[in-house]
Amino acid sequence: MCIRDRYQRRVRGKTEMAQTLATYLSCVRSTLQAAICLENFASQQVERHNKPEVETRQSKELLLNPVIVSRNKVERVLIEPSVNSVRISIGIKKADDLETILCKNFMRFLCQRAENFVVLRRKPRPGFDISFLITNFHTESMFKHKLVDFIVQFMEEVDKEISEMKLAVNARARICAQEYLTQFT
Amino acid sequence: SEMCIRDRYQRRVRGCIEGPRKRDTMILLDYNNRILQETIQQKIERAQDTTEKLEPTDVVFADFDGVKFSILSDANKPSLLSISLTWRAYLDCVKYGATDLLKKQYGSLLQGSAQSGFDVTLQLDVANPGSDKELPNKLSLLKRHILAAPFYSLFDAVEKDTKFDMVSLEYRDDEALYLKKIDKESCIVIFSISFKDADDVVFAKVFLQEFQDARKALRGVPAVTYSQKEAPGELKGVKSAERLSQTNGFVSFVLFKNHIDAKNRDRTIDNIQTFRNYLHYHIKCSKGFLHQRMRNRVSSLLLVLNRAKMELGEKEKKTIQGKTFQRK
Repeated sequence: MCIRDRYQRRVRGKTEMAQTLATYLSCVRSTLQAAICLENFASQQVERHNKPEVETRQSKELLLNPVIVSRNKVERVLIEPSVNSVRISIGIKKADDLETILCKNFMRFLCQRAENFVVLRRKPRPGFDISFLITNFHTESMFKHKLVDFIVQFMEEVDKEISEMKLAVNARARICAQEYLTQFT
Repeated sequence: SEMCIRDRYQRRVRGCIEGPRKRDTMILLDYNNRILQETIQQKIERAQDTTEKLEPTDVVFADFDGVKFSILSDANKPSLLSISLTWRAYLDCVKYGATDLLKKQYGSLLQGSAQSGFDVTLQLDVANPGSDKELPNKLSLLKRHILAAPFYSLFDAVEKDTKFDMVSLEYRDDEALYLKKIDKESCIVIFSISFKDADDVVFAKVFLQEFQDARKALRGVPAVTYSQKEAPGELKGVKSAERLSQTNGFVSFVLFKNHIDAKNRDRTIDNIQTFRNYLHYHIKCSKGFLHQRMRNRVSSLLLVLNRAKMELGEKEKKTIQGKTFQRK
């Protein structure tokens, strides 16, 4: 291939990647906007209690159909709505060993601070890396469109952060190796 | 200070050209023991200062690889310091001529028998330290000289092309160091490194991959190879290696003539001794750095989330007639 074709192919490849990411995120965004329609609902099992129905899962009529938006086998979002709460579980891109442990550490770091992030769940749903739980009380005190913004931005930032951390580790490794070995010459 | 302007300028320019010393930026580890060096330096200076009486000393401190140092002097003669070291690998190093090496380096300072609980002792009178300004630095290299003994034997065997039985030094609790002659031009140093944390293994793989690849960019450096599961072929049949290969990774350095000839061998020994600690140090630094990044990212995400929070406005409202009421 001539240089110009090679260049065109490379640019197109990059924009295609970015386009699938944009499509994925916009799909997640519209699904969330549809799913986060919550109202207060007292527990039918226990008097005077108010529990998130998506977590208790006692009454089938209160649970809506779960939806998975997936970009590929690893990157996907599971949205489980119910009458008064929504559980959003995210699977994050992990290309190799290093990204897997970076992702695991980062998610554990976030989950330990779940109290600060009001909508974060302390344990992710099995099969996913991190989970959010949004209840009607959250939607009463927060703007819904901003919540959806937050979740989508969260997904973008986590991906960006993991690739930046991986780059940082690789750069550091290269510098360390070169510094150490040049001592011998 | 009393430097004239021109000297100050010259020093600054030279500093810019030479750049900060790599050990100042904390990329490379020191191979001497800084605590020992600074303590001796201080004691010598205190002894020179005749205004105050010198106090007796009792300092115990550690170094990498489980080495324990002690600097002791009693009240009868507080300026006579006994500098002692104890190390699991000491006796193994003595087999390869460590005692002769120490005698050559420290001369009369080396004591015939060590303090109780220690393996080797040097004795120094800080009131008469002699004229050598570098004495504290030389003393701080005690551990380096001990570990250098098997390396010198290996390098001599390579240069003279004599038979050399593989050295197997278990210098740490669950790690070992192997020295083997390959032929009359090269030899191999194998580190068996244990990682307490499974994540460290992944970091180590990234770092050691770069070590392996550095050979493509740099000329004249040792060849590095790494394997996590299996012991390298050079260690076939070595019992301790088979036992360690269950849990440890193996890093091999192949050293060539330009590393082991008379001009460079000291520098090679200085640098290769701290490799295992260098690797772990940088893995820990990376983890610390990543933590810092994660903390920053968490606070930026929290800012985004806070934008979502509604401002619960004023609770107190007024009607047109002037009555006030509160909206709950």
